[in-house]
Amino acid sequence: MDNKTYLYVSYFVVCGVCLCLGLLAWLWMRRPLAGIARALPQRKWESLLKRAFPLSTVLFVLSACLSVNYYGGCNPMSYDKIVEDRDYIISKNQEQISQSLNAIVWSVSLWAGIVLVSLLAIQRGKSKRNSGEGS
Amino acid sequence: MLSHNFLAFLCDLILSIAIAFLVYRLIAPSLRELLDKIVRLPEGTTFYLRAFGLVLFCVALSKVITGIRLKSDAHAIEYVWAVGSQLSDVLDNVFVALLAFVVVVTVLVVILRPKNGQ
Repeated sequence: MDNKTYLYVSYFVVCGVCLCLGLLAWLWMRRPLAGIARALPQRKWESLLKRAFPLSTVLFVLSACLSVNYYGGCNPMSYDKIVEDRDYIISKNQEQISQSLNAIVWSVSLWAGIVLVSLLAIQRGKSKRNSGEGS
Repeated sequence: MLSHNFLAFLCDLILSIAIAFLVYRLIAPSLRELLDKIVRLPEGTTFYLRAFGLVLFCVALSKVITGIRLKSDAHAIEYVWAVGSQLSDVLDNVFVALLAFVVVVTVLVVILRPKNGQ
């Protein structure tokens, strides 16, 4: 495979791999998040969380993957030089996957905060119900 | 035949996954007990445990995946240095992730603390 074909094929394959990583992260976290969402006092909040989680995770991962600049940062490379250098293309592919993994970390961390607020709401809803039953 | 760079990458990958797995195994049991007491919702405990595991593995792999690139005439010790340098980055990342998670769990304990010191 010549370098030009490799550049095209590897770019789209890596984008597919990054998309799969985002989907895997969503699948891994989906069930516990759905359980937490079900316990929320408001039904609309539940559906919002269930829909926003996969969207935000996958979009953020894709965004991180696509944000990798092939022209280089401090030392810009021309298109011809990029095509000539197979090692450079491989390093950029690896950078795309690395950025996607970092995006998963940021997304999950952000959702840990959202779940914290949700758990607080669940606990308050429960204590309100308990005090209502008591009086 | 496998290149030395690939072998070094493989060593790096195995060691990084082992580090992430070891940290997870050491922390997970006590974290599960604590979360069970505080969150009192099994899905909440599962969410935070899975998030912890996912973050640990992702931060470890994100450093390793960039690979090792040394010239073919590099000496054996240079590969060892390269693996060591990458492992140092992995340990840094795992340390930061661990610290961030301790902060999150501390906030959880403060906000959702059980009444009567249970």
